[in-house]
Amino acid sequence: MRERIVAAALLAFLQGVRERLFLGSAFFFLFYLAACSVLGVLSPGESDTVMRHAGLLGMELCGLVMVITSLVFSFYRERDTHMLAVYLVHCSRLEYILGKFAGYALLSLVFCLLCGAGYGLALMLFGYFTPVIFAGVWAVLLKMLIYISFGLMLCCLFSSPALALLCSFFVFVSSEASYGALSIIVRDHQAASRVVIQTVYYLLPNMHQLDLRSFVAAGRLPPAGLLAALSAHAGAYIFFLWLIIVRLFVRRQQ
Amino acid sequence: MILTARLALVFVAAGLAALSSLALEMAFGPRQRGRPFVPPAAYMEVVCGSQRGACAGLFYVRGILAITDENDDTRASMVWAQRNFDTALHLDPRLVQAYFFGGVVAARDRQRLYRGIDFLKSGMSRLPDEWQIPYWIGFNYYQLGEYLAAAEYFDKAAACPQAPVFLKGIQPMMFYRAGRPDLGVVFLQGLKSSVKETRQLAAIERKLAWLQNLIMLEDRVGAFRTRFGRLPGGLDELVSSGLIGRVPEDVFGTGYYLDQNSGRVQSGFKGD
Repeated sequence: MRERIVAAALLAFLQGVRERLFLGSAFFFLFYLAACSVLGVLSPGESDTVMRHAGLLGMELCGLVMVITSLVFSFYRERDTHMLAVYLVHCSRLEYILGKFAGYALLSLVFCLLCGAGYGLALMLFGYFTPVIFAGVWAVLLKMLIYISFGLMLCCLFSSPALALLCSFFVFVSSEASYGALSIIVRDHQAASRVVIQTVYYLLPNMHQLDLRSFVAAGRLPPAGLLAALSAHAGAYIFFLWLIIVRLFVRRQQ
Repeated sequence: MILTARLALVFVAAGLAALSSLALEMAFGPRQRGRPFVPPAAYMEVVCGSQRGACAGLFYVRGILAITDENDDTRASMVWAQRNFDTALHLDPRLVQAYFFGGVVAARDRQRLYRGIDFLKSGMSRLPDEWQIPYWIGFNYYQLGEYLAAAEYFDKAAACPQAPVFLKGIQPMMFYRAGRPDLGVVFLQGLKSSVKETRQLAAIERKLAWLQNLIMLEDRVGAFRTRFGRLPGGLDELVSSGLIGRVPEDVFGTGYYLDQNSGRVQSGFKGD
């Protein structure tokens, strides 16, 4: 079973790397870093903070666009060209979907390593480098893993790639703004409906929980407990999404 | 031939596009349209979500660009820059330099200095432990010639954690410039009793002696004026008239003298 998952993961990974989107996103990030350095020059006194923030934001956006677009289109392409049926001759549905996730997780890791190196070099060039930025890169990777799980879930849920893609980006936007939105919504509600709203809020992804940028920007190492807690939270959340993905995928393909 | 004509057409079209863009800029450019709207900080906080830090950076850059615009050095420009800085600070309160640019650099006249002070005071409530903010308020009051207020804020800055030691030595000079060297002496005596480090103690004692000499000389100048109905020609005249035994030595080595215009005893020492 393990060999088949690894094979499916490597296939998904190689397919992701071979696509122009991966290299395009990495190159775009390099150009974005050049823009970040201009922002740094235009922010006297706070250049380090601005550059660190902007760099991590760029890495997250480029990574998200790359991984979600690539994942959604490859998923539907395999289904529409009957490649999925060929895969399912050799491995089970569970192995296929696990391999798909692992492949894109590996792709995200490679992307984060490449962009993290570029980001670190750019900061080093301006004298703002601190090893703490890698804690920020780790948080970006965790976010990407959650978005991959969401992307897979939406692919299993919808028959249209455009809908899955749009919903994935909507999940990104809403998860980034959910904390502020919650604080507005709960203000004018009764205690009972407040509980319902908060339950929905904690069920949806809340990316501010995975945010380490304030530490990175200040050049402070986040507490080990926080790093462990947010890694555990991401793991638990991905596991929760996984239960839904497996259920949906197996049912859809029957 | 056809190719050349097509190429010429492309160049003409490009020229027209550039000219129309220039005309639009001149007729309805950003200056004519007014400065862009700065969204309320609380609203931006919700919209930016967990990307608040990066958004704060953008507002910070907008503020910097506004105050460095030499063609628009107006009060409105400062207000707009401060709005951007305020939004940036709401999104990321650690951008302390925004207070410096919005409260000190942007303040280029008396009216703007007061506005800068108000802006900085809003920062004091947001970041009560940052010594730079009361220090910059004190600096603005110093530029306005309000030395007592300056001393008050330097004192607040000195009380903040991580405030540099030099801050404790600024206040006596402010009191002296405000015409209240007696308050400077009181301050230094209090400071002396709270400091244990020998080098700092020696520096405080030197400044205390310097200020006490000034007070004594000004007192004797006053006595001379009462007795003779005029200012002495110099400090030596105080000696010749028997009001003092000798002109005390300036511990900073610059020498005391009588300023005939203000009637006050001065010292060549101007620093802290």
